[in-house]
Amino acid sequence: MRKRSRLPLLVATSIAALLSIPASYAALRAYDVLFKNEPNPATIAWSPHIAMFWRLAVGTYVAGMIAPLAWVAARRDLARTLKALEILVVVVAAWIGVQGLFLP
Amino acid sequence: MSLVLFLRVIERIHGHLGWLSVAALLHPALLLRNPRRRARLAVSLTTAFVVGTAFLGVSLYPEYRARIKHPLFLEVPRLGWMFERKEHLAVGAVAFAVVGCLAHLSVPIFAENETKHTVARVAHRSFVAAFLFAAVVAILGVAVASYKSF
Repeated sequence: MRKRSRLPLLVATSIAALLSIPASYAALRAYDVLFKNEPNPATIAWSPHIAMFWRLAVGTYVAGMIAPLAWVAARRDLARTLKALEILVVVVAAWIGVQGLFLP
Repeated sequence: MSLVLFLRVIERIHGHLGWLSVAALLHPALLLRNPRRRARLAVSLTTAFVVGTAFLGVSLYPEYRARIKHPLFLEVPRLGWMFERKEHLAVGAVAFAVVGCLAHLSVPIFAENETKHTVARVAHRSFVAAFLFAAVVAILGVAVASYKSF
């Protein structure tokens, strides 16, 4: 019974953690485009650093940091946390959409 | 089979699966408008499809960087940047498909009707986002692949 009552908290935590991955990914790429002076890709033949994988790894790390915060929020008020996640889905989708299209 | 031929075959499979994923994502994006609707099998298979397609794309990515990215940016930079856009939006498509699947499959574990509806709306919104991203990704992928391939 107790395990079952924790499942909704786990779901809310997982959704929050998963949403933080594309959000962090988009933030990192937007930062690179706006504030870093990147070399022209046409001038680089090859580099061992795969930026996309690095951004995903950082996003996963951020998800690990978000998870305990989301767990605490869901335990305090599950309904409000879920409402916030419902809004966050739209915000994160808009965020990575804008970054993907306008800050490639 | 030479490595180039192997990469070409995987790339074609990836491209076709990508378009099938777009079609598959449209199903939950439309079906889950009604928060009471359950489509566990469709949602699970769709997400598995998207994740499988992404796995193929990720496994091809290092070779794309080594063999195609540089000449693509030299010859047609516009297409190079299109591919960059495709990468970013593909991350969104996969993430939202997984979020939508998790949310939809977990609806029954919520006790109150209001929270059930909220989670169902999270699932629907996620699949709509995943579908839109996947559609753009597929179009950009065709644009790039029709110019340069392995």
